[in-house]
Amino acid sequence: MQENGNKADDVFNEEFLPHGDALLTFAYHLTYDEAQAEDLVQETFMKAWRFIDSYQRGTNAKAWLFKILKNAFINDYRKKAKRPHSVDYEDFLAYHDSEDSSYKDLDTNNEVFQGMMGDEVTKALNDLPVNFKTVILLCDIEGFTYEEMSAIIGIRIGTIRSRLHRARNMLKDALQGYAANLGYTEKEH
Amino acid sequence: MGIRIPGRHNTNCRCTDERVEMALDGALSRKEQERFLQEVKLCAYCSEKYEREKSFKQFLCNKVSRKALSPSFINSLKEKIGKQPGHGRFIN
Repeated sequence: MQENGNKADDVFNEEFLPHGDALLTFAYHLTYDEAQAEDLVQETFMKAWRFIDSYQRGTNAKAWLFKILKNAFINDYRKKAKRPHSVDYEDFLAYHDSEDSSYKDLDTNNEVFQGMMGDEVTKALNDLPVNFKTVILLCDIEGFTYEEMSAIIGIRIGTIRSRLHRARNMLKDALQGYAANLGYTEKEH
Repeated sequence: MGIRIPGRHNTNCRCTDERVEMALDGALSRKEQERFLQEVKLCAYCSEKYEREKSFKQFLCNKVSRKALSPSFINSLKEKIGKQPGHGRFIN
């Protein structure tokens, strides 16, 4: 029994804890609140510990932990969170589905974008509806594959791809808005 | 080899917006990726789009704020886990 305990400790220390910072970053962008983000990460690790016997050593701990965190967020935090201006997700999706889904072009090498503070970019990201923000965080910030994202979120790969495409366009729109206030004008093609 | 016209696809170009995203997200096989990178060089439109999207991904990676767990959080977490039944005392 003690030996099992030690093995579990090893898994926790060697395979779970190294993902703590990434989990906290994800949790922070989901909640946009540092205290809630820490609570969410703690809950994630507690659940991971409780179900550590169902984790197979050497498999994808990071994706497993992200899935636990995302489910904890959906089950608990979204219900508890007071969102005065919450937008119905399906309405939002329908609205964006009706828009041109072609590429939005943005030259982020432009000095206006390069001069942007991380806070501005973070705010633009955090203003996206949670399902869109999630795919950007998982893909562009954490580098998960489409297959891993599909397993974490529980939706088909085709949906992941289209949601990611829309999310990037929405974020570009938002960033362009910020940049326009700073004097950026879109290049003609 | 096709004709390079800025702002438009090369007449022989088989790239799609979808493939550009898949290439950047690492969703193409090695062979597909190699073929894509060869093809993209031949089309000014795709080449520019690919570079823009690559920069955008890099931009997000660089600018989006990241967080780190504090040592006190980790210690407190280990203490709480040590009190959980099932796996005995948690060993640091």
